[in-house]
Amino acid sequence: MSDVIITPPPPPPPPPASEPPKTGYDFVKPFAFVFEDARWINKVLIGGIFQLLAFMLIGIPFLLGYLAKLVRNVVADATLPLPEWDDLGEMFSEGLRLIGVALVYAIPFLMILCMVMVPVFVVSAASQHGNHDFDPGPAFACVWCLVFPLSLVYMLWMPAALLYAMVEQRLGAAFEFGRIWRFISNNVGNYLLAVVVMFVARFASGFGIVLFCIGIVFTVFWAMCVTFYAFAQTWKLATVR
Amino acid sequence: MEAGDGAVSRDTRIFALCLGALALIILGASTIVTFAIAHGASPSLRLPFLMMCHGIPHRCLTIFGTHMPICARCVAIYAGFIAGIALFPIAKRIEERVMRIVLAVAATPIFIDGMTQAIGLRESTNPLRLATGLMVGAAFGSWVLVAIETRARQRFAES
Repeated sequence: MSDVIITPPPPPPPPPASEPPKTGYDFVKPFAFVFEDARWINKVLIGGIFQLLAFMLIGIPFLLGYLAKLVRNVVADATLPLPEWDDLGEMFSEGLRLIGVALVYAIPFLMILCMVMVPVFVVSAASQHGNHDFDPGPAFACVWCLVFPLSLVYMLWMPAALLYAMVEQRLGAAFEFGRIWRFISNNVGNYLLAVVVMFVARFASGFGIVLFCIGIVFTVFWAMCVTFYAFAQTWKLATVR
Repeated sequence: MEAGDGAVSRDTRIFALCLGALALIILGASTIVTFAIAHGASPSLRLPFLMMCHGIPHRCLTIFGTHMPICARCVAIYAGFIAGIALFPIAKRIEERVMRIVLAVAATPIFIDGMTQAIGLRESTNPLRLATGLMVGAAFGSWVLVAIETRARQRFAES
């Protein structure tokens, strides 16, 4: 009987690094990713139609639902993150929920308007009726002093709140203020880059007007995709969420 | 049963409800505002409507002796949404792809009418605004409802 040579099993491969190395923020990709999709013309055309219908309000939920899908695709590292317009019902339902988030966040603005503007209108109307002089200017200036800083905070905070609701598909996530604050403050560099991308895209979208005026709806839709891609990229690269 | 034969899916019902409610609220509010202004209320009541429509007086319909806060085309598009919901029982027998073509065809007149007006070639008329708006509103309403329903049926078949 021959001896069986038992070779010891090979040592297990070394465990992979805990996380793949994260690359830096890609400033160009948000502007270019739409055009990398072979079907981008179809998708942008349909998006433009919904953008046009956003003026009539009914397009807004579809757009928000679409952008939520886009954000999730970017976070999931999809090769072609621009979604198809294939599940309008789902997009509409999700968009309605996201509108709910935006409306809740709009409550402070509405409260300020109600607290200051309603008395101003009443006094203004009464003084006109009684031929008294009433200058509403200082009251409007007072409102502006409150609304302007609040709208700046809103502009910076809102994308992160929507991002949480979109990625986690949970409305409550948009109101987890501690988490959102930690996300913004720990990723402030990339977050501000996304804000810059948002401004650049918005500015660029204005040139859509040269495409027979109607072109602006398509470029505005593109700008929204660019903006949400930029914020989704911030999420993807985030160290703290 | 979500989307079986004859039944309409939950998503479709939600969308139809929202579309119908939105159209009725805006048409109703603009009619009430027009009535109020015609009876002495402040014209500033028109201001909130400026967020969604230019409200240029000669492009608006005149009711109660005063012009509405939204233009004739917008009125027709909202009315078209309601018509689209009403047409859904017929439209749902048509394929979604065909409905998309119907929408493109229905949008062509409004596109030509709007473009030629925007670049100053001609001025449209209210009857034309009404006709083109109604067509595109109805086609859009039907198409979205059919698209949502088709997808719901696909999901139902897959499950």
